[in-house]
Amino acid sequence: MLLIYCPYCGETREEQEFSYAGEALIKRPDLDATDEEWGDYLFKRKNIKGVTTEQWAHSAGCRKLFVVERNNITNEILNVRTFESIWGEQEA
Amino acid sequence: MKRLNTQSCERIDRGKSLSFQWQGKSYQGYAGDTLASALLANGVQLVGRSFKYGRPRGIMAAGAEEPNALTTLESGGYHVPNARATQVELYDNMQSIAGSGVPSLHKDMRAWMKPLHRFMTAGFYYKTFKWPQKLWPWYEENLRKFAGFSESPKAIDAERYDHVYHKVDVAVVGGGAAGMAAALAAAETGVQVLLLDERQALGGEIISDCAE
Amino acid sequence: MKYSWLEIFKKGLDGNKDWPQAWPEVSPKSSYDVLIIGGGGHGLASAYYLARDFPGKRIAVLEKGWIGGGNTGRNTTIVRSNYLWDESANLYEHALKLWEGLTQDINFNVMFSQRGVYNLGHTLQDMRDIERRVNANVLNGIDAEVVSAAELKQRIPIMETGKHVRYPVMGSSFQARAGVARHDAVAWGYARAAAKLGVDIIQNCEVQSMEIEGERIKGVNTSRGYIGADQVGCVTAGNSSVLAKMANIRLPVESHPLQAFVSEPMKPVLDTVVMSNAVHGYVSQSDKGDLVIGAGIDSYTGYAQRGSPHLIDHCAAAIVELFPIFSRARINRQWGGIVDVCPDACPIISPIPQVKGLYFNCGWGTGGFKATPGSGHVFAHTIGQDQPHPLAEPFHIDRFTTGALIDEHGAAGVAH
Repeated sequence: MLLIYCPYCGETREEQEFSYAGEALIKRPDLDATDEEWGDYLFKRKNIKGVTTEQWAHSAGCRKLFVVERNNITNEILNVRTFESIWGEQEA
Repeated sequence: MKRLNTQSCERIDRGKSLSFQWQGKSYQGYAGDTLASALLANGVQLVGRSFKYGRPRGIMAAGAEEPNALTTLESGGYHVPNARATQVELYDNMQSIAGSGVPSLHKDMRAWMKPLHRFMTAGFYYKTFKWPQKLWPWYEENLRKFAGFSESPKAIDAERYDHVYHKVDVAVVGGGAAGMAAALAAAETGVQVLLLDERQALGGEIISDCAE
Repeated sequence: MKYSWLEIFKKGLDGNKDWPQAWPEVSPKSSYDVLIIGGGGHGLASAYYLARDFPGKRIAVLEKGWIGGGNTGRNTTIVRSNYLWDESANLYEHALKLWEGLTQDINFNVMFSQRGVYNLGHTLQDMRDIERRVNANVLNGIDAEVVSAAELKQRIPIMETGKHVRYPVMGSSFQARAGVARHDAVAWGYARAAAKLGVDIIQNCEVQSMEIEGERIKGVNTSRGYIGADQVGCVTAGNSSVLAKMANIRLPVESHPLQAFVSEPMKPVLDTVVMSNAVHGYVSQSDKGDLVIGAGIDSYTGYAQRGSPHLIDHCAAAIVELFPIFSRARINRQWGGIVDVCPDACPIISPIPQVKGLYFNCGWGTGGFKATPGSGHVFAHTIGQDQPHPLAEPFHIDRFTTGALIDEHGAAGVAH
């Protein structure tokens, strides 16, 4: 059972308090995208075997979404970040 | 009776006698006995039958690793299937029967199959029971009767259970010498430790070792 | 050599020393016409039907571990074809018809037991969905009936259908021709039958990269050397995206843990299969006597072949609610697999447009085992004729661009 640190609540809680929310940092294409680009965005995923960058929501707590780097073979969580910190990096 | 003489360290309390039933017959044991030790003390050797050929089996090990002494305890809403006699602590008026034997522990009809063992090598059923095709359901129905150990409970559980939720830093599974030492070492670092053991007392093999 | 009573008798009298290997241990050749990557039920079935229906092709199955060691050896063995939409219903029914003759066809007893499957309904909407699905099945020539709660209680007396439970059972769908089969036997049976037709079964051979030149596949680099091929069919279930990455493509699948567990063997007590989406659990009893129980997927992606314990907890609670007499049965063994889940709970059986000669058969999610013969057969024809078999056409990967998804979440059952 995963133990996940919520960066908003500042606490490590059990997996049951969270909801998995899919691959993180997928860029939505512009609205003039082709069917192919749109289908890719909606459905195609990296589905990495190894260290993934994924979203979790603290659904039983603050209910905010954040980004987790997890090795999905060993289930070791390597890093937890807020979206704000990532956008901040991207802007810098 | 096949008891050892009183030892310096014992799990049993010879002052507390318990009665129990095995295969419909009454026996005596002591508090601290497992069903297995009580059966052995009473000279009961046959406790089960092998899975395929129904060959007679006795108690072989002392704990969870025991492969033969699968028993059925109690009945109705208290029925426990596949209870390993080596893991069950004896209590007063325990009702127990063997969990194997087709049709019974003392008369197993699979014994007649033993001379046919050369035709029943491992996985032989993949090579056959397929002709004629329409007989497969009948073959299967009968094959199923030979499999399985205890009967399933037939009545709803008479007892109620509660779910305890516990969170610790370190859980140590096994409360023998190594487990106790590990738990102590972990606790000394200041973390919260849970020490678990399947038996009714800690100590594992140390308890019997000190008897030597 | 054909397996039969007579062979068992003859070999038995002779000390059982001359049984031929079920499939020979061979080294990979330098090239083949067709490579099937993935030695599970679907891959081995694909190789068998390819060899049978397209004689003359040199075929090998490459398996990174041992055959049937992935999801084929980890499923809960249920076989049924009661899906909602025509496209999927036809595919699964095609598979079911093949199941009905499979033991005789491959001369290996896969112990296909047509003991029926119940899909329970616990709410009015469940029952409406069940009525709809049953009607759709009947219109497609698939056996199905709606069973009332009272009738259920008659047929399965040990099941709790009373009004005092959290989710009372209101009724069920029932498919009589559905049931269970011996999963390992399917892998071994197909491997043996394929090997007999000349297919090389190569274990301990992991594909590490693909050689693609000018949008055409040339071969694969494996842990046992380079192997050239004109056509490559990838049938690796949970590891499909790993292979897709080698071809520089992404698939619309995500790999999740799927767990299951068995009780210790007991005497026969349940002679059918019961599934419940609502309470999230399903159960049958194997011929060996163990209760075989499964639940839903773990929500996160995972390649560890294990999941979180609270899922087992909830599933066990669901089973005990439906079958209170099982509360004291002991759990003997618990494990997990890796299921590649598709957004519409339907598979992908498709040539890959970007790479000529490359085909994928994946995305079966939690419902692959039941389709094994059908999947293998239509995939074999898709490769053999280099164009999708009619039953496979709707499952082309292009549907994720055209939007022609086939939503089978309801009929996919508990573990959707």
